[in-house]
Amino acid sequence: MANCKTYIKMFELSLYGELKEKDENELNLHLETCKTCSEEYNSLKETLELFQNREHVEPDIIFMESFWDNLQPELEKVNNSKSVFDNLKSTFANLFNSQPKWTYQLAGGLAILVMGIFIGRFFFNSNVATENTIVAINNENNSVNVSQVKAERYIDRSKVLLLGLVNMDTESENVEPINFQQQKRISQQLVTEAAVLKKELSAPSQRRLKELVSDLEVILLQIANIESEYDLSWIDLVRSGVDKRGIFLKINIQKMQNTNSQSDVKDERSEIKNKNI
Amino acid sequence: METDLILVERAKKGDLKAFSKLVEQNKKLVYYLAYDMMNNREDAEDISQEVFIKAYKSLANFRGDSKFSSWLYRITMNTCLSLRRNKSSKIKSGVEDIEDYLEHNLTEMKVSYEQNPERFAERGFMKKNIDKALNVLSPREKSVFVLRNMNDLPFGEISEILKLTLGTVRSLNFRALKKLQNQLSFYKNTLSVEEING
Repeated sequence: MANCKTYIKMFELSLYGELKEKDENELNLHLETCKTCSEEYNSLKETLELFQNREHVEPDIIFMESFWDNLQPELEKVNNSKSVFDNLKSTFANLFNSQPKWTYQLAGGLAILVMGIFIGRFFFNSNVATENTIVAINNENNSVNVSQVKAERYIDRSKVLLLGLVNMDTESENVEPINFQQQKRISQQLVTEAAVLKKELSAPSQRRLKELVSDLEVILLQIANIESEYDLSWIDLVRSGVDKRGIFLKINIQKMQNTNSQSDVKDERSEIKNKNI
Repeated sequence: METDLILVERAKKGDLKAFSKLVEQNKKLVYYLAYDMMNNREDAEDISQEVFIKAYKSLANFRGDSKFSSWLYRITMNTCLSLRRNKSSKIKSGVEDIEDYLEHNLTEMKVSYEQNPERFAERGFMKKNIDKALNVLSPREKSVFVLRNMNDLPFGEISEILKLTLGTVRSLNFRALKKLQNQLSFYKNTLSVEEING
């Protein structure tokens, strides 16, 4: 049976006369001895001959004679549509070829410029605006911050000075003459600074700070004008002035407000950055 | 004498006279192929006209790598297969599927033979039924079988026309032959090939 399989594979080439002579002879010998293969081969050959020998069905004579006449109008339509397309193509080609080269270069350059402006406006304008806003805010904040920092330092120095005087034990009998010259000098400095600082604290948010500086200025002015180092009654005056004006309370409140406003500025900046992103 | 390539080049420039020569040379071959594929005179006539219109429209795509006739055959096969697809969907709407349809036809053939063997042996009648038997083949099998055995094209050219490998073309052809052998075996046992071919 394996033998038959080998010969069955040769059937196709043999049927079309493409089998080598040697193989063809071998196949013929096998077909003479094997009835199954012989019947199969002959059956295939007969089927094939049935189709190969079949004559073509001739077309209708009139159809064939008028073949071109029927076809020609359709082909002329194709030609016309082609010529319309070609005309359009050549019109465009002429339109572009009639202009000198530099006009295209100029037009191209202008187009790129316009596109650049458009892209710049569309994509970067908002960023520039936000950048400007940030810069303005920064400038404003910077000037505010500078005066704020100055005022804070002013308050701190005043606080230290006042705390030292207010907490001084003036009731003790063993009080020795105290040299208040340094306190006087510092107070005079602080009073001078207060005049400048009040001008700088012009922002509405700094109104309370400005008032505090003014209150401190009044008390510091008293200290700066001490005449007798042995008469300590002026210290009581300073104490009562500090108490009446609630200087330490105001200083503490101001410290708390400064801390809050600093965190607000940070939040505002990060918000602007996030929007930008 | 002008070669196909010269005529094609002239036709590409809109020269209808040149194209008419190409039509004249190939119209019968195209018709035969269309008829073998469709087994219908009207379809063959429509297809052969359509093939030349399509060919003229797409002449720019013909680069001359193959014979002009091979290129036309390819257009013919595609047009036939497209029309056949449309028709087979219509047949399926009336009968279960193409196999059932063919089985029905072959049964009719057998009954006709049993009723009137002499008439059945008439060449025209036989041809008609052999053509019907071709419909049992798949589109690719039929394309290969028709081109090779009914239009005498070599396997190599069929491979070019159908864009199939030579091995595939040979394999499809032999498979088609086996199918036809099975379909037609019932009357070949009774009628000799000589009788059938007259």
